[in-house]
Amino acid sequence: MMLPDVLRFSTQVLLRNTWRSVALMVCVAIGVSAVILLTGLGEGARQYVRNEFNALGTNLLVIFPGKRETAGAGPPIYGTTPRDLTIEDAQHLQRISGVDYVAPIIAGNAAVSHGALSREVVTIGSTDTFIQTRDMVLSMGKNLPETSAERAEPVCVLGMTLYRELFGNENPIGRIITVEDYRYRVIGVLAQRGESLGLDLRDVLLVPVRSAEMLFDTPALFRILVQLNPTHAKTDEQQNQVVERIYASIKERHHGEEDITIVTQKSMLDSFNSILTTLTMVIGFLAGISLLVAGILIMNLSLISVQRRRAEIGLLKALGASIRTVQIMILSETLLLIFIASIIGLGLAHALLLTLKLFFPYLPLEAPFWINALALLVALSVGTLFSILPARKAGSVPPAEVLRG
Amino acid sequence: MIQLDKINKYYKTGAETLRVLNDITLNIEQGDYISIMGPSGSGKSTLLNMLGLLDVFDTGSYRLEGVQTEVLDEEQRARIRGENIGFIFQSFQLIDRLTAAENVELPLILDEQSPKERKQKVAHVLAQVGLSDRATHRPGQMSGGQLQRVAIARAIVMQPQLILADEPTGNLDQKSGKEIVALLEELNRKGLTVVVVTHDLALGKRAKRRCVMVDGELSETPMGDDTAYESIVMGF
Repeated sequence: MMLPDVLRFSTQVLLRNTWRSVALMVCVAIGVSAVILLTGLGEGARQYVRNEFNALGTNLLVIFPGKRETAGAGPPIYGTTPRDLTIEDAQHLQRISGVDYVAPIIAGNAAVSHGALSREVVTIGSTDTFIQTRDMVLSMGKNLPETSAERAEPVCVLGMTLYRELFGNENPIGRIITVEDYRYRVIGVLAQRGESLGLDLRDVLLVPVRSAEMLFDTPALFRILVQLNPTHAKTDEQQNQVVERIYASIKERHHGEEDITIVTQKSMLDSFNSILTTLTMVIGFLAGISLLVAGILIMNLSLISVQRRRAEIGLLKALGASIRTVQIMILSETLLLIFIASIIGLGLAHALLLTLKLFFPYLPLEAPFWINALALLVALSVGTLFSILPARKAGSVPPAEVLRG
Repeated sequence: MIQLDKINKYYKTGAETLRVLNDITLNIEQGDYISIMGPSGSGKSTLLNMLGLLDVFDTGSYRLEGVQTEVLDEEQRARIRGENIGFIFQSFQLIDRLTAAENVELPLILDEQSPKERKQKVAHVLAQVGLSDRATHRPGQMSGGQLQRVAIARAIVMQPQLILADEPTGNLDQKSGKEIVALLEELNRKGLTVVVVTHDLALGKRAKRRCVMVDGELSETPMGDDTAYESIVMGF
């Protein structure tokens, strides 16, 4: 039997049993769309995290106070800190070859007010290099002063949301705001930025790191951001050399104690990537179970269909159809149904992803080609697998028996 | 054309073994027209299924066109059925969702003939059975006589040498039955070998060779003695 005839015959059978076909198609379409939608969401989350890391700036190192230790049980913890990281430590790192910018950070929540308006925001004490390491730009005014690591100047830069909340559309440059008990002069406003790993950069206040020392009454740095030189620290090997130099520098300053942990942007990205890829696979697999259920349903209904069409199958065999031809016909009915349902499922999933994108425009919700191909392949494989038994049943129909009467 | 030699077929029903074909020996020549009559359960249809390679026998030998059929695998038997044998059934066995033309086309589709060739052949055989105007009708839209004519068209579309008809007039009124008998005779006149299993005495009598089957045993009654034949058959 030629392929166009097989397809024509299968189409006729599917159309003849409209409700059965529709019910099966709905099951398969839901299964396929669930696989694509959920893996698309997983991929979107992965892409989102990747973008967030890129937003942190390229070639970024984050230095945490304390040495990462292996605990007896539970997740790894950061050990106690014998010595704090200080602004001087950060300044020292600036001299290391391969380092472009160093941004020491002291952070905390502080109540910021202007006139009658008050707002509690994340306040970051850093230097003028902070906006380079975070790949940020100013929308008006100027950056923190270059002397931020030396002098506690009472100046600040506002995030866009904070600016809008406190000043509306007024020009804030030169105006005075109160942060806790201190008065700061506004010298700049950051350009609009999204969230970055949970921190809303639109709703922050930047002050010189020395001012933050006074504000939060601590000399200890929360962390140090190090931007590597894209030319001199391009390869993994070069980056590792810089990391080693940083460890050595801090160790020397901390009297032989290696009491910091350096996390590279790449290692963070790799960790998240690995976690989210696994998560995507797991949810994809879970969604795939619905396809398995659809497959079992297809098998049962196909068996019923074969049982009801025994006379027709017997007739075809009497007219010259071989066992193989009969089996191909039954198989093609299922595969055609699954193929159509999968296309509907693909369309449905992409429509839902597009709808979700309207509500969450910052999430890169897209199902890559390989996910679509995989969902289709899984659906067709499940269909083939669960059609084997009905096809074999059909092939074994004894024509003499079923054509009696 | 056909040589059956001591064919036996047994069915097991629980502990009991039933012998449905008992040492059947029969030679059929090309162009023969044979009727097989007998009471229900005598093994007529089973014999017809053996002849059509739809069923297998337990012992004996069956040569069809010089081919020893018992050594054939299912694939080879299917090919012979498709190419050399046309079947006509009492209940027509047409597929409801297909039109008359599509039903007739089925053997050609299974034989992988080109659509153009198929169309020509279907039109030809539908004209031969007088149903050109019913080509697009579905079985539900046709009378019993027309349905059986579609089935005959399907049986001859592959131009087989052998037509096996199982009670071809069993579900028809007298007038339609006569038309079908006339059609079978016409096919036989054109050289086709026809084997008919029937309860219809009128049909049985018109065959060139008359066989009677009782309890799995086949016997041929001599031609020319209608009274003797009728007395045997009426005794069923």
